[in-house]
Amino acid sequence: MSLTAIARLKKRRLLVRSLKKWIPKLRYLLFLVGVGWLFIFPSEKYSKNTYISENALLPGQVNTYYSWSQVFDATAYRDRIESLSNLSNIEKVNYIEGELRKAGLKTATQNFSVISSGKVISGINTFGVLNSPRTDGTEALVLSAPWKSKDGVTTNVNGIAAALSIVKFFKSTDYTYWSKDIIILITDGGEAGVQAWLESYHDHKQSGIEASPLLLRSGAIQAAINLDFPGTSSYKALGIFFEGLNGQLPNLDLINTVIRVCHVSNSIPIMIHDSGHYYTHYDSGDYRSSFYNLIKSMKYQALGHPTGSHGLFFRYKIDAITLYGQVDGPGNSYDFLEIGSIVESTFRSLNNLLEHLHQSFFFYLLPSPERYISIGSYLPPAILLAVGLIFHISFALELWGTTSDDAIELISSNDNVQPSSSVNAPESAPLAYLRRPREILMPVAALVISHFAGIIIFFVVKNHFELSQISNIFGVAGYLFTLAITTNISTIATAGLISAFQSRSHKIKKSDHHNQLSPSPDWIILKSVTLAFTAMIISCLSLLNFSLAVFISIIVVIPFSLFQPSAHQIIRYLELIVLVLISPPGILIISKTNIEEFLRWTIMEYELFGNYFLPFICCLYWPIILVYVVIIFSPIK
Amino acid sequence: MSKVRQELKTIEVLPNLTGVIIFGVAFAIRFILFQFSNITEILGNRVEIVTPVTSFTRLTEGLYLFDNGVPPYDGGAFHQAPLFLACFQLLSYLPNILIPLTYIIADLLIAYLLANITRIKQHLYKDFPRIDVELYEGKPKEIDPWIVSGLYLFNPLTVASCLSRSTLLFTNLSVVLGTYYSLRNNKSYGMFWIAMATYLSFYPLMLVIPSILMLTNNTNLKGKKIENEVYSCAGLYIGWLTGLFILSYLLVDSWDFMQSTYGVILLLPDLTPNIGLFWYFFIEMFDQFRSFFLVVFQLHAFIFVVPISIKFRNHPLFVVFLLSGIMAVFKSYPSIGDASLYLAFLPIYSEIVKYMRYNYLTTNIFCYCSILSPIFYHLWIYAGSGNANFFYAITLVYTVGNIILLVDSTFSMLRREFDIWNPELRHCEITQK
Repeated sequence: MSLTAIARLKKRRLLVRSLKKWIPKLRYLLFLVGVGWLFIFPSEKYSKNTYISENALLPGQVNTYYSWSQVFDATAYRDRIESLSNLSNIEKVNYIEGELRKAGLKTATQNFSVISSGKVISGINTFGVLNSPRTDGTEALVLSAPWKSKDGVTTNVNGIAAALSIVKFFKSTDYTYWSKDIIILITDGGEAGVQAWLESYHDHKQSGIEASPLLLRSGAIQAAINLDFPGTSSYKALGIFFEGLNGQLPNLDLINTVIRVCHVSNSIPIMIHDSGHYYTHYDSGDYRSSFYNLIKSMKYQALGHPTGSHGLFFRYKIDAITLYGQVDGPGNSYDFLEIGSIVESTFRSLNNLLEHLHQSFFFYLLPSPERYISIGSYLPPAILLAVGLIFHISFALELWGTTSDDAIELISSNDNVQPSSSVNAPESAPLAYLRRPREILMPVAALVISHFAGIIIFFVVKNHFELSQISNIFGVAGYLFTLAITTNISTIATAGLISAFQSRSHKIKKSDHHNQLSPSPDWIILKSVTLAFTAMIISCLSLLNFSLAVFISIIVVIPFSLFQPSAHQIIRYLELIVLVLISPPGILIISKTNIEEFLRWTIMEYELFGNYFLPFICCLYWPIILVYVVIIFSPIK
Repeated sequence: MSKVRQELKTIEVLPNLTGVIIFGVAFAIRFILFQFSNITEILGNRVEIVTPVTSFTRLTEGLYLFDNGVPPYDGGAFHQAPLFLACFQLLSYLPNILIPLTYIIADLLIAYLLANITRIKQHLYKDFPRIDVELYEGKPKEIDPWIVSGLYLFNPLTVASCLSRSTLLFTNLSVVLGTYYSLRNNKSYGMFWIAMATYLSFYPLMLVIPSILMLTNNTNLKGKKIENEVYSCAGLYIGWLTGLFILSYLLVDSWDFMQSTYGVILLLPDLTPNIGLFWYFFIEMFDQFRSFFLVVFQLHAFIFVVPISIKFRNHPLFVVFLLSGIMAVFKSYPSIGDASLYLAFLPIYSEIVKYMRYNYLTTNIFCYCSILSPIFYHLWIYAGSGNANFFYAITLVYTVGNIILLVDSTFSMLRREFDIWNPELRHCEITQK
């Protein structure tokens, strides 16, 4: 063996040794860096200015012709709709359909009903199609307005009135520039109505909604704008709602287009959601408001909750956005004239599209309307948090692998083979093979059993509203009953596993191990397997739903790194309390959420829209907590 | 008949409780999923599981054309061997349940043969020296053959591949049968099944060499010349293969099937995404370079056969393992079914696991890939927020994972042998000059 090779070996060994020494400390640093990094996000220095990536859009470059005569129309519609708001569904629909017909559109209606989370949701959607004069109608744009505003109580009077006047204007105009069909859609019954309409439009039934088929149809929908202008007053600012189902986002170009149009032609202050922080053109805002915007946005994303009717379009590869009218705020107010020109100008831009919106980002965070953080900039902290867990495993692996010392000691006592001096070895190295058996069957079984328990919990929670009928017999609140069942399942699963581990460790102690090191304790293997699994969930999830991944890793990383069976019973119980607090029921109780309401919307969104928040929490997050309870109560040796 | 051959003939795994439970549960899982869920349709459309050359949907298409007297390869959708047409036409006359049953039984048969192969391997290595840690009270600790079948049957990749009704299962069955009969010194059957595997999906051609190695390993004992033995094996192989081709010709009455099956495998006209390396590369390829790179890619798959067979000539079963791994990574239309086959051979050499250095890494890579590849495919095709690079990136990771596993097991096998023959060097690290 040459000298350089020996030198290289020595260097390598030194590196491995120092890595082993530093990695356990490094993981806390990683956590701190990861969390600290998240706090840099709102800073103005970290984000970049948004830009229009799709050159065909040309936002704000056209003259808008929506003017006072259209505003008079809109005012008339508004007064009529307001007087209708107490009447039955059918009368409202008849009015809308009549007005659309008068304007010269083809119209149709759709009845739907569905039973979800113990309630019947039903309604009638109305929609009309304006055929484009310049093409054969293979592509379409949607202008939608729900009957109820996002609070679910106020009628979206101005939104519908504006939509009607805009479509009437689009139809009557002498300018034949539309190269895409325009669909006006007035939905009923909240988001279920939108879902029903989209399912029928695409002939793709995904939920249990019973809906009549659509008698009128147009081409592939390219984009959708949803108007939410509650009440009849005028507005001070324009709110942008863009988070969709399961945290999906529209193409950034769509948001940029709307914002550019607002600023360039009308200088209306913009808000992200209804935050109360207003932005004028080129305003990047201060740290606090950006922080608030990000947190709010990430919360919506994490819950997978669509922030408006637009959120359901994403499932069909349609980019969509909700424009919301904020009543209070500083400065000048705006009215139909501005709403109309914004929508007109935006539609003119979208009309220019030659292909589906694809240029700009689909993964981003918006600290303020004109600043963005792209996936490349926001993903590293989440990955750092996951890597911290993996480093912890390599530390754990070190515990149950062989260390060089015991390998050499054993070999010289058992084999009677001395590292002979005639061999030109640099120094004796650890054996190339492991002497300690790794028994992974039980730990993996524990992981599988806990997830099985998680699936049962999911089915219990899913059928919460059926079960609450039973609980009514006993006279307890429905959610308490579900809570009791789920807690029981968790307790039985963990208790069973703990006792299995304990009896196993007794057995291992009794049997003597000939010629071998005793296998490492089960909890170490179980912990490394669980940590690996958690790291995998976090890193995979961060690609689908970054916000949920970040929240989960912030909650679990520290407890999961620190917890292990302790000799002191008190510490074990303290650990247990922390685990109970970070389990889903614990979090719900601490945050003082109305559990009944929470269950109602999560179950409804799961059943109707396919929101995966509930299955994720029950089938993946909860079981990991259960496994950790097993870990802290496993025998140490 | 020689003594060795006689001895090998008598080796059978005895059914015990573990075996019965494993096979019973494996059967039940598959049967229930086949009968009472629509998972077959979902899996049957996943690009990771079925490829253009193994898809059951495409087989149905070919069958329909064949039934109606249209040449089955005319549509350009069907790329599977003509014998499938005959077999599945026969099955279609029988009750519907027989198709899932065929798949289940084929899978169970593979598992049973794997148990037998393990048993034979343990018998062949009986007098081979071992390192002390493998001994338990003076006797070597061996893996229970039924555990090997269990690891195959409960491998999620196997279950998914079986449920997707991918016809790759029959290639895998032929490979395992070929290995089994070769190990038993049954020249004729061994060569027949390897020829069958070649006939079904071409790449198993490279397994001829390890099979011949297995068949000739005991030749000296029988007093025959090795060359003659090799010639007769090769002759048998070519004979069987020609027979199968002629049979196919008689079946479909034209030679079109050569172009539509082997032509497709070699020339890659169908660029449907899969977990391999070819599709993305050849989408991007300029036409004038295409043929050159096709040759390079295909040669690359075959280039490993000779060195591996020479290095491990004393462990032909291990060569089968390595070569099926290489096929699973470098063939033109790989799927997870290919990986399930070579992963099934790994536990037979369970003694090398303790030498493997990247177990943790490879396990993680497999887990990440199985979660991320559907996610990325979804982001690309359905959500529209990702693109083809996402999915290709994950197939690259999958390939790297497979290669690390193969390299690691090769290292382990060599190092273990080195340790056995050089006990005094066990404490040395090995480095390349």
